[in-house]
Amino acid sequence: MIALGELYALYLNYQNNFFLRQFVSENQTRLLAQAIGLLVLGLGAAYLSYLFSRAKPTSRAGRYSRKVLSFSPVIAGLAALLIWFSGLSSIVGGSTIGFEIYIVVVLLSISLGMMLRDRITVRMALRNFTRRKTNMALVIAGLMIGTAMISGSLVTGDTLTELFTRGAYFGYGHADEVVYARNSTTIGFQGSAYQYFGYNVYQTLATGLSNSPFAGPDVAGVTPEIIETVSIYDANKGIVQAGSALIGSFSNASRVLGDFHSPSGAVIPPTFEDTEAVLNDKAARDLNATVGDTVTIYSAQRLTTQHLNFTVVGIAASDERGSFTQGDDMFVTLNSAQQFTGYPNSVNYIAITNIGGLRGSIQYSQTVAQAANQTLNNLYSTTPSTTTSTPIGCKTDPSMTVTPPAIPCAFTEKKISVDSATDGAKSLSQFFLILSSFAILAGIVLILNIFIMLAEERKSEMGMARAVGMRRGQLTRLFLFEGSLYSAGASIVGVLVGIGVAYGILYAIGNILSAFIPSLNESLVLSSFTINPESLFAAFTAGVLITYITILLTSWRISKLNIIRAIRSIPEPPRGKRTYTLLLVAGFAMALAGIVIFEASFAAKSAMEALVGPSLIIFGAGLILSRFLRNRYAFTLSGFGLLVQWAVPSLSFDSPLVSNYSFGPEVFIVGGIIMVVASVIVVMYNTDVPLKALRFLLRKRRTLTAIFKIALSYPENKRFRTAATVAMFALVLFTVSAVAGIQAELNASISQSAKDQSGGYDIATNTAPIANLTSSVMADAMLSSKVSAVIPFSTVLLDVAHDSSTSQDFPYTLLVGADPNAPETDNFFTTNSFKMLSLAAGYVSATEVWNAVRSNESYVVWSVSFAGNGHPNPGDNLVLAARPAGNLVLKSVKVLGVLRGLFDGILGVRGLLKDSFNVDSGTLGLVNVAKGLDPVNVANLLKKDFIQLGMQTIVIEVSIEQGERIFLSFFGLFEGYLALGLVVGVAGVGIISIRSVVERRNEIGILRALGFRKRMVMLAFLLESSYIALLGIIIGVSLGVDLAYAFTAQPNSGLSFVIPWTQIIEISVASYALAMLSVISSARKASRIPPAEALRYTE
Amino acid sequence: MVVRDGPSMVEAQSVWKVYQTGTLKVEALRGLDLKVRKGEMVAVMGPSGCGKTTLLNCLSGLDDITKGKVAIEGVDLATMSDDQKSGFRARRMGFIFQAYNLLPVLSAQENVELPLLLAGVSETEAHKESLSALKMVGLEEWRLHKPMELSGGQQQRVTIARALVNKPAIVWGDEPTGNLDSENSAEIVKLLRSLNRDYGLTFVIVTHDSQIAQETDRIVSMRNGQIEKETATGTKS
Repeated sequence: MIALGELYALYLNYQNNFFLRQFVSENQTRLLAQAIGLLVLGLGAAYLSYLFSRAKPTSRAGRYSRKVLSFSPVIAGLAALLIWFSGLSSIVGGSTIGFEIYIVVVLLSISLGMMLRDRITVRMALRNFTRRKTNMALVIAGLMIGTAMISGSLVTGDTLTELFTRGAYFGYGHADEVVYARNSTTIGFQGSAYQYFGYNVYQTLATGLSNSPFAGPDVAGVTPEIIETVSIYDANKGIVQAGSALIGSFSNASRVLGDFHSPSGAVIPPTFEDTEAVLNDKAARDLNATVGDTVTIYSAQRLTTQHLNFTVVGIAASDERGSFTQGDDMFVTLNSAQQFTGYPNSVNYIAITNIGGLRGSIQYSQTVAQAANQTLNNLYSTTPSTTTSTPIGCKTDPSMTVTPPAIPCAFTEKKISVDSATDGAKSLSQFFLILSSFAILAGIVLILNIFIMLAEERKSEMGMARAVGMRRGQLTRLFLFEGSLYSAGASIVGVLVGIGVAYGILYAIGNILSAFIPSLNESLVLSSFTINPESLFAAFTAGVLITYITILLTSWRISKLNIIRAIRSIPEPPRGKRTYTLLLVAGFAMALAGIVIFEASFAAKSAMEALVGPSLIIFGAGLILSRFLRNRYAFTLSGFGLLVQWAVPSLSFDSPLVSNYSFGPEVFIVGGIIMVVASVIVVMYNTDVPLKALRFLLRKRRTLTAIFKIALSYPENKRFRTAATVAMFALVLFTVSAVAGIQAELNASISQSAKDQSGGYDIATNTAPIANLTSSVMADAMLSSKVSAVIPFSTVLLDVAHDSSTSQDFPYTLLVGADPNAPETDNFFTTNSFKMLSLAAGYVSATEVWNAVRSNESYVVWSVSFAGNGHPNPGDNLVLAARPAGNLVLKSVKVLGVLRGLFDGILGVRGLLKDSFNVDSGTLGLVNVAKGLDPVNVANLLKKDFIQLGMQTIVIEVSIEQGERIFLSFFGLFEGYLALGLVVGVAGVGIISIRSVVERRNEIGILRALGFRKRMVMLAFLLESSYIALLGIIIGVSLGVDLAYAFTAQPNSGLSFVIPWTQIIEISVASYALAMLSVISSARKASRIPPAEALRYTE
Repeated sequence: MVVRDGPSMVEAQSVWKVYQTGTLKVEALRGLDLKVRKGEMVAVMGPSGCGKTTLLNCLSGLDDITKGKVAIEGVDLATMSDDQKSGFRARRMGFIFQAYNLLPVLSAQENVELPLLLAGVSETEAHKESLSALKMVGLEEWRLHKPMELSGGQQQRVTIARALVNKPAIVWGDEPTGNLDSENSAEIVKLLRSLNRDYGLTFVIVTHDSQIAQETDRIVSMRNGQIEKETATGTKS
């Protein structure tokens, strides 16, 4: 069939494909040989099939035929895999989802084939499936959770992608590629500072692009613009809004950039006058501005007294045109903007619009930006030599950020922004998926548990079926068919529930964000709710696959029953010497694998390998010991060993061995699973200890002793079932309490962390470059008494900071310099309390480092913000490159320390900037307010009084705390999400309890005959489930708290260990209550069975 | 009807038991009268489906009757709540079933201890008593074994030990030898008879085995939910 298919494909392509015709003519002999070979193979297979089909059942061919047939599902599966990997994957794209769909289709087809061949088994499976409706509903409820969590994670990913990319699409609107040159001396908190260039650059670029043979057809238009950071003052309302963006463009820009729309949807005419302006709705909200108001703008980028008045003629909705910077925007004519900035005939920003509309245009970005940069490179003679070997000029790859920033280049900013938003959303979705792994694992244990229970329940009928001639394979199929129905049903329900879960997550995200960001409301977030059918299908197939494979393995295990023992309900005999010898071999193999993995971790620098290796050795040792010791001692020892290895942070998560190794969330997942499994092993092999304790405690309550004896004997005797349920509970509770613990620790450290990161300062200011901020502030009568210190910095944006020690480049790094000789109160070097993360060799304290920096211009400290990542190591030498006046200047410095600070950049002395880069002014300042005053009020006053400097302010502690609180709120969301896994545990306990009532009907009768009252029967069932649930809760919570402790024990964590008692009690009580709720109905049912009926009952 | 003299242990008057399954009504007991005196050993016989087990369940309070009256030691079962009946069973009754009906997760001794614990005996006392009960049935060596590890005869002995351990006033046996071979059956009957004789225990035993029935004081023969005849066996207790 494959050969025929290939021939047909060849035939179809042959006439139209020149290369194919050429290939055929050049390889005629080889192709002929292959064709003959395939023909012979096909004929041989056909002949064998014919022989087998005609063979007598008793003949050798008949026997082979049956053997081949019995293996046909496996053969079909292998063939399907072979077909996929040998070519089908490349034809259909080879994506993971494609493979998943393919595998599910193959599995279902194989199942269907088996079903058609074995109708009686199908009938039995169908009847078993519908045998007990409540049971079926519970099984499906338990099985669907894994799928629901996968589906929830993926739909959350789709929605977040929509939410995040919407910002990127609207932010850039129809500006797909943008052309600008960075300004190295003006640095803002918000908005960009760009250099001005002649209008001719725009004209040349527009002409160059329209004439470009390969990019021209992709370009819809080119728009020259001016963007400046300004402070806006609404004279009618008396409100100042700093850090706004002034955007100047021609009125005809609406042709390509789109119209402004009022919130009602009406178009705002773009032909406004030079004295008129349109505010976007965010700016209008912040200024409380309405149409007709007079607003005054002040530059935040240049030290000038110039300001301009405008009349607001429209309030634009924050759509693709009105949401230019996603902040407060004010749109004016290009002429007004040029007049305000003092750059006539100049612009500082060119927007290039591609064809394809708002969302379909970024596919052309690469081509258009390359063409734009080719044109721009011809315009400027580039300055030679930088610190690095990177060629100068605009790059042919526009996404590359390292270019000499002084010349205008085209950047594919919209594409970069959309890609980064998509990546961000995918990472968050991935994180949810990682969090789901515990619930998915618990779900797998539940599936195992359910099917082993079903097998136990039907043991005698299975024995009978085998006795009357049912083959082992049929028994496997019986369970597999039934399992397929469960897995399909559960996956469909799971996918739908997952949509609900995703909506819940989105609702919570909306709540969190809208609490902190006033411009974001819940409905805006919820309107992004997106369901991608691909995600649903991926979740469905993943759910089906996980369930199907688990059931397949369980069914195979179940089918290996002993007929007599099954019929007579005789328990399995204890494992023989052979089993333990096999375990011994497996133990040695495992220990050996552990040694190899541990050894490999040194080279791979992988924490996972370094920690899992020893675990395998310990587990292997347990298996080896089981050959010589009683299971109880062997596995208890091994379980304890694993617990000690992972639960003692200094031996696992915080081990000095792995401190410099790669360490991802998978280490916590694997560590958590090992700890839970180890605890369950220890507890299950030592159940008699708590039982004895309970008996001792209850020795005076005689009737209770009887109830306890009955209730606790079952978990002790049904060890696998109990262990699996305890593990399910423990896994879920472990994750929930670990997250709760970490959240509590972070919460407790917020104030301290904000204090540490603030460096002891109250307000950070950003202004147009100014040389004498301190004297300006102190000269203000309103402020002088309210401010106790002002620390100004001179600032320059470096092209690059090149680390000579590691050859790493840090592009666009901010270099700031403080006055080493400033008066004590205004001296940064003596007043700051920033926390040094690491110091260069030879320095033992932050004071020593600051003293060295003060006295030597070539010494600096690297500041890394909370969100920042990479930084040089203390002791590294850096070459700083900047072009403050157009020419490249290089300066070598040495990093003496790395601190956790407010921004990512370099701190040095003023002289470093003055002497090396000739920069003596700066945009950044730190302010301390007088004792007892509210920094928020002082910050508002600063903004108002220094509007002419375009002053923006940040109240440091408030801002840091707010950021951390958003971060923390997400922890709450994760906790809630993880708690969904509880459904698995609760369903597990519920199913066990329902099964127990059915299984023990007869025993209930005996108990009642012996004098058990109804209440006592119910109590026994409740106690049994309580015991299981409480064990799971205690194990899970203890290990979760332990993991939370491990977080605090990490060096430099800055956290102190906190046990969130209230939350833990709430979680435990809720889990316990839910478990009891799932049990109570069956326990009550058990107590109400009339004893005579129960005694008569045989299943 | 043959009723001997002496105080009655069980007294059933016009007992009816009707099962209703959907629209189908089954009259399992139809106005049955029966008296069992203290220390008497009675066998109930009859064809399958004649209502023997139903009678035993109704007389022992395991099942409720539809009409009539059942009194044990002079106390009308109808006046007792479910909990009172349970307590009464725990203190005054013992049961021996055909399928042994031991709790599979408890050891032989734990099974025997259970009625004592339910009757409020201390654990130490229960332990001692259960051991002597097992000794009485010759199974002290097997006390730590679980039911599945014992033979049918041994399991039935454990059941007997459990039925007798709280020194009940009456022991109900539902086909106590139904699952045993003739040798084991004979041994069990011998044991029951000696307990009846030595301790004056009252036994009501449902059986198909006429040889066993011959060992009792009286045989009650049932048919269609009614007592067909009662025969004194002549075996002297």
